[in-house]
Order: sequence, then C-alpha cells, then structure tokens
Amino acid sequence: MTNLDQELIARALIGADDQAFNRLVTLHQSAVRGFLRRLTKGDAALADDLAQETFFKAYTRLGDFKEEGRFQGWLLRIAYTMFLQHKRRRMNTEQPDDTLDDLAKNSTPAPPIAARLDLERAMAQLSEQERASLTLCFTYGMSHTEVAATLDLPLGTVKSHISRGREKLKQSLAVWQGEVVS
Amino acid sequence: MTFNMTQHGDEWLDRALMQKPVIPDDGFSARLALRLQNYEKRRRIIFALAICAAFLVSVWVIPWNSIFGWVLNSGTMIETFMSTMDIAEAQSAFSQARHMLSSLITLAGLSIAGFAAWIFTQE
Repeated sequence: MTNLDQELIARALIGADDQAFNRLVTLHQSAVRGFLRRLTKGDAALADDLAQETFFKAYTRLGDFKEEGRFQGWLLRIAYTMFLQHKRRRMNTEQPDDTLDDLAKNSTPAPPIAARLDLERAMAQLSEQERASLTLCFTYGMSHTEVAATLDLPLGTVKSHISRGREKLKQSLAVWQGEVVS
Repeated sequence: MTFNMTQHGDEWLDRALMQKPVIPDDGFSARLALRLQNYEKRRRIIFALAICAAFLVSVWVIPWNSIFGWVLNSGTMIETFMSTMDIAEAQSAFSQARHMLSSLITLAGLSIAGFAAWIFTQE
C-alpha cells in the first residue's frame, strides 16, 4: 500500500477530509473498472455499475480494511465479490447470457490490427476464475498468494487457473502465429 | 511497438496481459461522490431522528416528575424551607415547581435534539 493511500484512508476514516475518499476513488477507479470490464467480458455499463457498488461498499466498510494488505487488492476483492453476487442474482432470475461467448466462438479471425481486441475475445472464452486470476496476476502484478487471498481460492487452484488460462489463450491466439502485429 | 508472433508469441501474450487498462474517469468519481453525499445526508437524518425518538421515549417512559419530586422533597434545603412556611402552601408550591421543572427539561431536551438534528443534517 502506498503512503498516499495510507494517508487518504486515515483522513477518510477520521472524517477530517471530505475529499479523501474521492481522491482514493480517482486513484483506483481505472484499476477496478478495468478488472470488472474484463470479468463482464467488456460490458462497460455493467462493469461501471458494479464498480459504483464496489466503491460504495468500500466507503461503508473502510474501517474493516486491514493495513497489512494493498488497498487496491482489497478493492479488487470487493469488486470480485460484487461480480459474483451479480452473477448469482442473474442466474436466479434468468438464463445466463451466452451471447458474448457465442460471438467469441463463432467469430472469424480478426485482422492483425485488432490483436488487442482479439486478446479480449480470447479472454472472454476463459472461465471467470481463470480470467480473474490471469488479470490479477499479470495486469495488476499480484503474487499468486495475493491472488489466492483476493479470490478466496486455494493457492494451488490459483496456480492451475493461471497456467491453464495462459495455455488456453495461447491456443486461441495461435491464429496469430507468423503474423506481425502492432 | 511491433512484435513477431512467431518469435515472440509468449512474450507478446505476457506483454499484452500486463498492459493495464487506462480508463478515463468520465464523471465516474463525480457520480459516486454525489451518491456518497446523499448516503451521508440520509444517514445523518436517520441518526438525528433516532436521537429524537430515543429522547421522546425516554421522556414518556422515565418518571422524571417522580424523580425530581423525590430529589426536591428529600433535600435538606427543602425541609428547612418547609419548616419556615405553611405546609399546604409549600406542598402546592413544590408541586408546581416539579411540573415546571419537568416541562423545562422536556423543552430543553427537545431543543437539544432539534439542534443535534440540524447539526447532523448539515454538510
């Protein structure tokens, strides 16, 4: 956790600075929204709604934050819980929407310029836990132990998710072999 | 930056995965700040109402009149005062004083609760 995070959390907790929590939001909104966009397979509106819920919960539970961990890790953990809750609610009310999965499976190989988009599409084919593990590990630089704590999974499971997810991505992106991408 | 997938397949994948998405704020923080502001306002109003309710219940439940009466009647100052006056007149005076005191206490309590409510609803 950075010193700035620490200072802002302390100020937000004692109520000395109304803007302290807003600054924390500004600092971490990109990470939380990016993580949720990946979990929701690029549904920006849903990801933003879940991000709002995440920060709202973080605000009401700021006192529960233990200072030994990274603040961002704590936020991402709440975000993941919010995502799971949303998914559970959705499963109770309607059939899961496989439109994006179908799109990813049936789509023809994209042109090289869309390599980044293709990665996101390949990511969408992974399971949620694989997607979350890979994102936390590679994109947010968390150790396997931190990922396990964030996702509330055993360390061995996280390791296998990361390795399996990476292999699946390589296979999905095999169409790029021999191409020059930018 | 250009990578050749044949030579740098894994490297490209790792690099692509490591790219942190940079999402512009686009009013996200402002929307959240507004929501938190409303939440705080609601929380303060509920807290103030709870204080008022607790006070009103305490006025209704706790026998303030008897308590003050007991305090007044059992004080030595009162006994001394009563010894110098007509008993019936003194009792009537103290009864009035008791009622006045309890009314004053209720009024003061309500004012404090109102003031607390006002303070808590302020930004």
